[in-house]
Amino acid sequence: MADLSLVPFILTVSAASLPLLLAATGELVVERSGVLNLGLEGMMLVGAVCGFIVQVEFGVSVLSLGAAWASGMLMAGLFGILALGLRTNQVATGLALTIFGTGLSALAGADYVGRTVEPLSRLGFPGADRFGWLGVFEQTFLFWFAVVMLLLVHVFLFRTRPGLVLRAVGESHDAAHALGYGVVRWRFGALLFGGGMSGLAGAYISLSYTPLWSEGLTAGRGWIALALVVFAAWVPWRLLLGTLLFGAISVLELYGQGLGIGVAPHFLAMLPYLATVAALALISGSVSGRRRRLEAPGSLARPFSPPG
Amino acid sequence: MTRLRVEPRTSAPLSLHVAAFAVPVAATALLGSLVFLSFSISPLAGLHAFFVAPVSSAHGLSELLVKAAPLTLIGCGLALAFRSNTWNIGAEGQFTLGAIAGCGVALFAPWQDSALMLPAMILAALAAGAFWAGIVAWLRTRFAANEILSSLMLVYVAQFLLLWLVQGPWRDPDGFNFPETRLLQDAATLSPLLPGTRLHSGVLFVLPAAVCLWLILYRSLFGFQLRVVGAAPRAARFAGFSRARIIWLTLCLGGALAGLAGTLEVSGVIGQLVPRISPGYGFTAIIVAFLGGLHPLGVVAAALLVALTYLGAETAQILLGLPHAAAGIFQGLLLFTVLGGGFLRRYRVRVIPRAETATAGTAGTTKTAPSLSSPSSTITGTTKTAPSLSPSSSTTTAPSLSSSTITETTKTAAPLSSSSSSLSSTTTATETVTGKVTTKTTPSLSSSSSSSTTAGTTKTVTKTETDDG
Repeated sequence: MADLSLVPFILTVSAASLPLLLAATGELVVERSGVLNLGLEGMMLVGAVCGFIVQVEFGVSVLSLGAAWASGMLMAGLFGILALGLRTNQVATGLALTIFGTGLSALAGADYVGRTVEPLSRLGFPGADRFGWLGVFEQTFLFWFAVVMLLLVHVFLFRTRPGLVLRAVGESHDAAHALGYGVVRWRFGALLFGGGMSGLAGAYISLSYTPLWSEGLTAGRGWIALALVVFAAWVPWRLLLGTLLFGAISVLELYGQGLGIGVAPHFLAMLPYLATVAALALISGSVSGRRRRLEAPGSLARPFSPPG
Repeated sequence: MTRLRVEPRTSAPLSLHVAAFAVPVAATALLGSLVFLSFSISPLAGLHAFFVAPVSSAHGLSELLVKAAPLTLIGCGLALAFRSNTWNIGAEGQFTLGAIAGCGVALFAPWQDSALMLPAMILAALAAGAFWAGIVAWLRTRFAANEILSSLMLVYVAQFLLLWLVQGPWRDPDGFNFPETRLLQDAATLSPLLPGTRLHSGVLFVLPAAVCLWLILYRSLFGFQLRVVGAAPRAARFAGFSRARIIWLTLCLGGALAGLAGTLEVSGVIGQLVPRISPGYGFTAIIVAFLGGLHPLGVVAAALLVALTYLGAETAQILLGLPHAAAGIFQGLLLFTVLGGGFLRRYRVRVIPRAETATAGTAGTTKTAPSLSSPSSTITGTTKTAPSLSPSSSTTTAPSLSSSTITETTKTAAPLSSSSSSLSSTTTATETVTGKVTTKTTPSLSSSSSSSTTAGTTKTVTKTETDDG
């Protein structure tokens, strides 16, 4: 109970939410284009290990973030070749990507377990020490990047013509194809963006959140990010709400132990997952009430094969 | 000037099915060698450590069976679910619940030394696995909650439950504070089949289970309904097959089998509950199911192969110092190549000479459609505009197609597609399923499902079958 002042609490929550927000923003764009990439966890892990290795070897954080972005994109490209090019089942391919990424990151990072790096520096504010609450805004570059990206994604999807096309591709690929838009090309682009964002999300964990590398570092955050996209009903600003909520729940687990809540920590640790299930049930609505279900992109997870 | 055209296959010869198994294995070995090379490990040494060394002893072979048993049990159940388009990826959680339930019976049942112990444990495990999967089915059928995500989230819940039990209430009081239960008594332990190995009698469950599932899938009405629901949901709905019932049954059956695998693992291999009872069997079984072609008997063969990657990773850890998780690389690659190879099984890539392209391909090119309406007006419309677009865009050959499918109520589509000329009419396999099921409703069915037909190839686009509720 000692230091439960608001500023550190908010900082902890935002730190826990940030990887979810980054990954989920990318996945939201991907799913809006009609592709379900379940490989988030794998892409995040590969991004995390690549970012960490570059940081250990070169010590330039811009370089390591770039490496994380690029490695995430490579993984997403692999998914794209299979799911879009060879029209494989997206669920299975995404799972394969996660399993593959878990193994690959473990192999690549084997020599780096136990090494530490300087955490990403926080961008300070002049006068932040005078007004204590301004400390809330002392965040890493990635925090501001995530916030800006969320805004950009919102503007892109709902205020620009390419965003409209992307949504059209996701709603009905046959109609978009009939209008002459390259469905596969749009989806591939969205996938690459999602991959880059996941890579960054992973790198944030390995470079700032827990500045070290260990096998399976992301601990299921990729899956939570996936659930968050559903939770947000594919609307960017609700994503912010969802990530903060989930960040807060996962922090509650840490604080719960300190506060001496009479519940085994295991049950608090279950909370984010149970909350996701509950959110899924609430968001999806009843089977008979079809109105709310229509919010999902119409062509989600359906492989596209052009006619003719 | 030629171009490539991708056409759906109506039927695949047996050789293709064999190739769809063999080619991915070879491709995985090749790609795995590249991965080894990139980490400056000799590919030969790597492949030897992964795929040869583990099975070059009797002990290794017995371990292979020990690892393949849970993979087969779970994989068979998942194959059934996947066949019906139900994506249960939470088998790991159902496995864990089965292990907890079986162990709970062993620890607390009043009939400690009786012969009833093992059957009771198995029954409890079946029920617990089915219950855990039943939650997913309930969420899916009652709330339309995506089963991929809900089943996965329950994996984590199950793992924390297990962790809580072994660290808290079920911890062995004489266990020096280690997070584990006491060792199971003899009556709750599966006897070893071969002395000196971990090969336990639970392995004997596996083949009968696989054969049973094969019988269910291919020799029962339920199996037929299940396959129709997966391959042609609209046809299934017209035929009156209950999607919700299929979801419930496939999920619970898969959950029960995963639970059984869990309790067999605890009772036959580990001998007590520990925090980590599975090296990811539930997830790996998904690979097994796909590698086995979603066919229960194929799953048996696939499980042996994938079990080898687990053993290989252990050997490679000892011989080459690779991390244990490297098994994931091979499992991921295997699934990639299997899925990618499926493309060749489902589609035929034809080289179209120029002359033929000119005659048959003109109407089928993609450029004809945009003339229909101005792009700006149609983008804003979503899904609903598509159906109204497509009938006018193409010379609709749906009536002739549906009539041919109606006549084709017998065994297979092969005579139909071979008798018709190579380009004029190719029906997809799913469409013939619909023909088989509901003769009377077929006209309405096929006219709606063949949304985009071109003069060149009549391709029924089964993707329009969006219903899953």
